[in-house]
Amino acid sequence: MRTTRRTRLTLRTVALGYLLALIAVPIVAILWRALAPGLGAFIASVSTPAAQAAINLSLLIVAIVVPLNVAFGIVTALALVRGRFRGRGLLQAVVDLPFAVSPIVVGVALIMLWGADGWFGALDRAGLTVIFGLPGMVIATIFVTLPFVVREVEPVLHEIGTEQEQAAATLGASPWQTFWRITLPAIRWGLTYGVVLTVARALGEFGAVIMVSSGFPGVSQTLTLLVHARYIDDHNTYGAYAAATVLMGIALVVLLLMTVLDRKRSER
Amino acid sequence: MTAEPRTLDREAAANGGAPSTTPTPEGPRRRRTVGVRPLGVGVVTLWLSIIVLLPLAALTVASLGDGIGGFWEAITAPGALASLRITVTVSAIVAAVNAVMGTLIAWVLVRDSFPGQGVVNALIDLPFALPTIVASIVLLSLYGPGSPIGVQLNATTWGLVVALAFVTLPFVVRSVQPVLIEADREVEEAAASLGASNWTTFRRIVLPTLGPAILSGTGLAFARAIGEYGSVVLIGGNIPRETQVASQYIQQQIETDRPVNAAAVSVALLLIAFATLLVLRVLSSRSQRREERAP
Repeated sequence: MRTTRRTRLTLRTVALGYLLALIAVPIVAILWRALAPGLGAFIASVSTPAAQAAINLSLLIVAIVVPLNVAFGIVTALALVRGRFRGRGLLQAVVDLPFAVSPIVVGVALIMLWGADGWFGALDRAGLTVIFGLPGMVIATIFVTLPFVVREVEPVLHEIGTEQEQAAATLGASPWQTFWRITLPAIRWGLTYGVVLTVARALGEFGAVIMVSSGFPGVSQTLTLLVHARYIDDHNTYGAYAAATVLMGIALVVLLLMTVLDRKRSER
Repeated sequence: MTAEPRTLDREAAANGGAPSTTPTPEGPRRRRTVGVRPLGVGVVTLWLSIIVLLPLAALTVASLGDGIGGFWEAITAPGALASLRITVTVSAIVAAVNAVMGTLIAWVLVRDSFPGQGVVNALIDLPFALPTIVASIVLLSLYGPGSPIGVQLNATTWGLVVALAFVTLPFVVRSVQPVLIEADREVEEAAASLGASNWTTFRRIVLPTLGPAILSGTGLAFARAIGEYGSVVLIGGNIPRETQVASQYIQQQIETDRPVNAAAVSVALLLIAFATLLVLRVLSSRSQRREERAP
C-alpha cells in the first residue's frame, strides 16, 4: 500500500493515542501517586509487617512451585516429544487446558476436589488443611503455571533431536549423564524462559489464589492479595498503589529478562 | 557461535578416547537416549490428573449435584444469566476493539517508523507481564476515584471495557505482527500500480492475508476476557445485573455458600471458552488447508 504521509501520521497518532490512554498514562499516574509522597513513605508502606509477610509468602510459593514445575515440566515435555504411546494427543490437550480456564474457575474446581466437602475431603478432616492453607495456594499456582515450562522446552527438544544423545550413549554415558551433559545444556534457554514465565505468573496470580486462601494479613496473604485487601478492606489506597508498584517493578524486570532470553534463544 | 556447540565438542573430545573398540563388560550397549519409559509416562499422567483433570472432574460432578434440572436452574437464575450476558457482551465488544486497534497497532509497528518505536513495541507485552490485580490498580489510579484527569470509570461498563482491553491488548498485535512482516508487499504495489485505491488494496489484498491472524488473536482475546477476574475486580464495581461479570458472580456464590450454583456457572464459563477455542481451531485448520491447496 502506498500510504501518503498524512494517512501514515493519522494511523500513527491513533495507535499511539490508544496505547497512551490505555497503558502509558495509567502507569505514569500510578508511579506518580505511589512516589509523590516521597520515597520514605513508599518504603514505609511496603515494609510494614503485613507487607513483609506477604512478600515472604509469595516468594515461598515461588520456591515450591518452580522446582516442581521444572521437574515435571521436563518429564512431560520429554514424554510428549519422544514418547510413542496411546493417548499422547490427549495429554497435549490437557497441558494446554490451564490456559483456557478462568482463575476463579480454577479456585472453585480446587475447592470441589480438596475442600472439606470435596472428593479428597478426608485429608481436610484428618487435619491436613489444603483449601485455606498453604498447600491450596501452591496447588492453585501450579495449575495456572503448568503449561509454561512444558511449552517452552518442547520445541527445543524437537529441534535438537536425539543424535547427540545417542552418540553420548554409544560412547558409554549413562542416561543420567547424557541428560545432565547433553540434554539439559541444550534446553537450558528454553527452560530458563519457561521458569521466568512461571515465576512472573506465580507472583502475579490473584483469582485462583484468593479463592483458596483464608487471606489473613500477615499469615495467608500473598503480594497480590495484599494489594486487593489494602484497597478494598483497609481503604488504604496509597498502600495499594505502593504494593502494586512493587509488583510492577518485578514485571518490568521479567519483561527485560524475556527480551534478553529471546535474543539468546534466537542466537542458536 | 554460541557456547552450545563448543560444549558438545568438548563432550565429544572428552569421550573421544573411549570409542566402541573398548567394549563394556556387559557387551555392546543398547543405544540409549534420554527417553521416556512407561514409568515416565505414568508419572506425567498422574501429575496432570491430580493437578488438572481431577479438579475439573470434581467441578463438573459438583455442578450436577442437584441433577441436570438443578444445573439448568443454577445457570438460568436471573443473577447468573445477567452476569453471563454482561460477560459475553463486554468480551465481544473488547474483542472487536482489539481486532481493529490491534491490527492498526501492528501495522504502525511494522510499516511505519518513528523514534521510540522499540519502546512502544516493548510496551505491548506489559499487560501479559503485569499481574491482573495490578492492572486493575493501574487503571484506577487514572480512571478511578480522585482521577487526576477527572474521568471516572469506576463501577461502570466502560470500566470493564477498559480493564479487559488492557489485559487482552497483546493478543491481536502479536499474532498479526509476524504475518505483516512476512506479507508480500509486491502484490500490494502491483494492485496500487493497477489503479487500486488504498482502501481497495487493503480490503482485497491485505485483509485476506491478515484475516486468519486477526481472527485467532481476536478469539484468544475473547476467551481470555470471559474468564478474567483480577483486572475487573476493583474497577468493575461488582454491581449485580449491571457490572458483575460471571467470575465475580461465581466468587459471590462460593462466599454465600452455594457451591452448586458456583460450579454450574463455572462449567458454563468453561464451555463457552472451549467452544471459542474449538471454533478457532476448526477455522485455522480450514484456512491452512486452503493455503495448501493454493498453487
